[in-house]
Amino acid sequence: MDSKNIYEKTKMKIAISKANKEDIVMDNTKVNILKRLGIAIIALVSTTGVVFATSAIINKFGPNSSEGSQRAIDSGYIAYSKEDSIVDSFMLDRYNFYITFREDKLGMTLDEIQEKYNKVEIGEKRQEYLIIKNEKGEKVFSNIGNAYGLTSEDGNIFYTATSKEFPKAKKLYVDFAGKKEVLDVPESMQEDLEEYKLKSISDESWKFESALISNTAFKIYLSNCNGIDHNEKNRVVTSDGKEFYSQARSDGDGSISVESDGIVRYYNTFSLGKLDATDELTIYLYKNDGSEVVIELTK
Amino acid sequence: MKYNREIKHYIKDNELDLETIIKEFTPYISKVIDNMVHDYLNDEDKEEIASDVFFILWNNKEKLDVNRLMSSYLAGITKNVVKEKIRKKKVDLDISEYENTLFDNNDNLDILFDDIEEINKIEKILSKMKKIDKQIFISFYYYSKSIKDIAKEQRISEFNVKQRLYRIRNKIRKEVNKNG
Repeated sequence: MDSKNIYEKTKMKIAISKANKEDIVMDNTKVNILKRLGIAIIALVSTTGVVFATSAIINKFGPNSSEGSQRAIDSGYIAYSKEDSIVDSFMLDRYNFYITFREDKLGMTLDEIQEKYNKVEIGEKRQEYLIIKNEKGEKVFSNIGNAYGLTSEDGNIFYTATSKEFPKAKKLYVDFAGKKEVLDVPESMQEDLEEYKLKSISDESWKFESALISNTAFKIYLSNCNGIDHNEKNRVVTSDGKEFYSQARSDGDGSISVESDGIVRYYNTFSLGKLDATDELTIYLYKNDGSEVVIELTK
Repeated sequence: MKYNREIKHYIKDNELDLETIIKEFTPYISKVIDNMVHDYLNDEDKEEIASDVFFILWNNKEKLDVNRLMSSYLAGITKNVVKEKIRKKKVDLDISEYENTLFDNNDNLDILFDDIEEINKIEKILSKMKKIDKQIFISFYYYSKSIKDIAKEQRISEFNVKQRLYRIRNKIRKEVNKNG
């Protein structure tokens, strides 16, 4: 007998045993966390067979998912599909959208998709092979436009998107190169954005427009904010002292613009979701000269 | 080989030094198994028995008397595992002559044959995994390495590590649910 083989097998058995035990603990913990957070866990056994997960703590959507999204997903904010579905799982929020497709069920590899649809000459239009609409026919997602990333791992294809605001959806009508599927969106993913009001702003020449929070992200909109800078120290601080920085994953996450009216407009997305938010928030933003502007908000 | 050493010689950093134990005692266990079953079981079955024996030892690490001989524990566990294997395989073999020559399991060790059977089934499924997935799984659950360290070792992102672990756990969960 080969002792190396036996050692390998024994290690694997011990690892499986530990993973099994961890799983039991994880499931119990999960229920408690979800009860505390008041997130509705609904097992939707529907025509599409989308179920809301009660276990599995993971990053499902590749390296592009934001910290706020990851925290929400870790708390069960993710919907899984049946095994025979082309969709493995998804997460829809007003500010973030992630969807994972099963390569084997699509019958296409990522390379084949890119070869077939993404290989375009200069001046040619990219093909829209993946379109996802809501029940009102509004486009929620497309491979063109607000799609941010595309990675393939272990037979899954991830699409991640960020938007100023995704339309609300009760159902998602997915069309992936002719393969169609209808997904039920769990009720907890249909939540409205919550608004914060201005309490104070240290530079009164800046105009506060709005601040909204979703399950996975916080956005602030300002105007007349001369001198504002995309500074890595820009952050939101909750009243319990937690700091949340800019998602900064794509252009869709934030911008500073000067339009024809000469007014400087700014918006930015921070990795703060409802799970961590407090009724009072303090925003720290910086100008080009390094000076700080403090904005206090309240619900 | 030093089969007359107590358990305490095989404790390193408050843990059983399984690698050394397996290296030193595989020939011993192999001999015990061969003496009991001769050619009635194939090599694969014998390796399975040996790894079950070491797994059971690890699983009972809290119950072991550090002043007792390692070989006595291993012989007792081996005898029980072989008996169970023979019963499961319905091999027509009389091993009663070994009942008195081998040490008994008088230590109330948990043998947990049902658990072992399930773990062995899962292990067979996971053995078909990609090498990198096996390495990640073992690093995380056996060596208790952090996601960060595993990501560095494998030169992949931490997300990728988490994702691979998720898939493996899912496979295990499916197998466990299938078995009821």
